[in-house]
Amino acid sequence: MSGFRPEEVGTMLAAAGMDPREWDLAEMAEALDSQWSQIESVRAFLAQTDEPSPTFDPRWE
Amino acid sequence: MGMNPQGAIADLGGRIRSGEISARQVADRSLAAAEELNPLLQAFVIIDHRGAREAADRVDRQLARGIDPGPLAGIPVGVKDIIDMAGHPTRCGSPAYPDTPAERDAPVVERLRASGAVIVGKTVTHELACGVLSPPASNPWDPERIPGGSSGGSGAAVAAGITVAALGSDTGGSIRIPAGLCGTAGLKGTYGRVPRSGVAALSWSLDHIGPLAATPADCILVQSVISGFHSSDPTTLTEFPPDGFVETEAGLEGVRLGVIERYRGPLIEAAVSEAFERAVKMLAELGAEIVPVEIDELDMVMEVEFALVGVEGAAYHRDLMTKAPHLVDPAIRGLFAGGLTMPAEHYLTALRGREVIRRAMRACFERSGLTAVLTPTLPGVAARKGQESFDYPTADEAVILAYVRTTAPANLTGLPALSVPCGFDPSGLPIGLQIMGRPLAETEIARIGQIYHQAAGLDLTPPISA
Repeated sequence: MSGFRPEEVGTMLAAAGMDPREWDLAEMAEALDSQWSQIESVRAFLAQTDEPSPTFDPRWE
Repeated sequence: MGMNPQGAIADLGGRIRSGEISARQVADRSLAAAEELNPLLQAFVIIDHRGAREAADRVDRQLARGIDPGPLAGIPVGVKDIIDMAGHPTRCGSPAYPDTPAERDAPVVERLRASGAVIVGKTVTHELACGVLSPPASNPWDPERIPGGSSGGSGAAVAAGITVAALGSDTGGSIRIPAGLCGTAGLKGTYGRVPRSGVAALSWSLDHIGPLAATPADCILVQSVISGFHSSDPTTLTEFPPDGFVETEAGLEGVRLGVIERYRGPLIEAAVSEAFERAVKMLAELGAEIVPVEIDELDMVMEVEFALVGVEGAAYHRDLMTKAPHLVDPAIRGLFAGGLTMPAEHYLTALRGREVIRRAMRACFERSGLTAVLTPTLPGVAARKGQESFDYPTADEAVILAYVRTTAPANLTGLPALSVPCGFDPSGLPIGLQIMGRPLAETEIARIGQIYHQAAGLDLTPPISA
């Protein structure tokens, strides 16, 4: 069951510049629920680390 | 950069330089093969007869005057259709992109041309380079199967022998996936090696441009040509490009190869597992030391990869998403809509997750003194068109997730990674071995891959070929 209500998703899409009428809001609610829960699992992993900053350099030296 | 004595480019280039065959004759053969096979393979969206012949004639004139045309003299190549080529549209596999021709070549195309390459055409990409199927392209080993993606046309063109090499892009595996499924080599260099200006982005922090080619030696030669700082792309590294020459005489003594245990199973097809284990055994017999390793932080690869691609892809394609979302494939549209509505804190959490993965990978290399790590390039062979999942003995996995799971770690860490063919399943479909190296160590992983390639001696000519 989605944590997002369809009308809530419609508001989010409109705020991002999209027309909610072009979307299946119930389907989108499920997709967002999945995407947001995935971030929770990353956050749980980060809690076990030394709080890295979001920087990136592919080189090691 | 020295000329590479190994690989298909060296063989063909040597024949062109010796006058045994002209660059024009090579170009004509490649163009004819493209025209003959494209109705079946759909590898090309543009076959550039005039441009290819002009480039080939230029090479022949230079050779006649004693001028070195460059390390790719007369070599037929393809260019993925997300990369600008002057005078041709860049359609990105999307109905939303106009037919307006690009005004100038992308730097990677400039570098190919300056090295003597003959660009035969533009190759099919999965829509917006965001997927692994690349319709309508087909796999030369079985046209009922996908070539992989998103650089699927490049994989099909090289595997079928239409071109010796082709450029692809790789955000979560899009060079190595088609290489693995089509039975070619494919190389994604260190993040920042190759300029990406003039190339449609999917995810700025994960995108790489690189070659698919007949052998690892061919890949590193092309990679050496297209690498290096370019003022138009501030993310390009200032280090010298990798050496395009691989020295295989020294063998694999002193090479330590980590095998990441999680990718040995259980989420892997039996034939892939068997081919991978045979490859590991052969590398050991060739002198490498094999070290089993595990990296727990890889648990979050998929979550981090898709969060970054969703947000960055949505940012790049925002106008398309707000003005004409109906022109975007529903799966991509959903990913980008998630990106446009995702809180900034989620994106930053994903970036921090990426840094944790990068540090863990580095620690693994250093703790075990590794030269490179090995994985199967992919856990399954080329999927049938329309196939949605792989059915392993203990679980199912969606095709898109299966293909990205093993390849995305190299995008998130920025490490160079090569796919080299390592066998076939019982129905004759190719299987790939992935070799991931330390930062800037493209030439070393190409050397390992080339030594393996020569020892394995696989017949990599598909049923549909030039």
